[in-house]
Amino acid sequence: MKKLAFLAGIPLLMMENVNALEEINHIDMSGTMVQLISYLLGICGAAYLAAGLWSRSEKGSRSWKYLSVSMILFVFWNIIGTFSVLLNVLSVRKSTSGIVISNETLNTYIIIVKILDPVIAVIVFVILLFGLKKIIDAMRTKPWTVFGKEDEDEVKYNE
Amino acid sequence: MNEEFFVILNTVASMIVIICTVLSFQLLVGISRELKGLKTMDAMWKNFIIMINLFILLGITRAVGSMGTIIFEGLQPVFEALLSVTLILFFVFAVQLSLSIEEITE
Repeated sequence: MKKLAFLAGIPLLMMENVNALEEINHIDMSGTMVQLISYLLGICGAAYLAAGLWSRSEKGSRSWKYLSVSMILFVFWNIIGTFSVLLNVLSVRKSTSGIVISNETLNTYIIIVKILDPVIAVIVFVILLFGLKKIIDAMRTKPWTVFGKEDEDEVKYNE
Repeated sequence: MNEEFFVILNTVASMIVIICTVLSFQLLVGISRELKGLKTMDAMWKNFIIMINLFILLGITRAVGSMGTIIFEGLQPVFEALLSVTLILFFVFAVQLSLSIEEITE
């Protein structure tokens, strides 16, 4: 009976240990893992979409290229987000992780990430707006050019 | 580097992102109304509109989150969770959109 009671107590002990570890390190590891996974999924999705849009732009309107470039920059934004999460974890758990890195180097990396993050975000959304405007204008004026290249004869005729 | 510099940089960037996303949303609303009128809106355009809407939501969440955490730091986990959920949804619709684009290209 005592053995059974001990076995039942193991998960509780583990939970306590995890909670204690998290309290020591002042970081929520489950939340960090979700964040990391979502950033990695974002990288995969955006890269796949950028490739699809780029191939579309070669067979149709060039406006798709703007969206493709926006997605490529979004990939970089996600990479920077991933680095920022990793740097946050590293700065908190530096003493326990066993990784040798000086405080100055770590601060430099954090500053670079902090500067790049908003700058890339702005570029991504400005290019998205520009590309979207071009595609929607083409949809309104020349819808046949969105998915197919305009023939040279048609261009001459329009001129 | 000065902490105030990052606050100003983040605020300016967030404001530009919000303006761009609102303008993009307006454009999208206009074109989706026209496409609905056609009644021949295919899966590609539907996915395209959903994906761009998610992208806009992502930008707004990030911008509001970075400005909100300056005012009250307790909001950071909420915005991080929202950003993660939106990113996962973005992944799903980005894959769907690129599959439907591939179908049209072939």
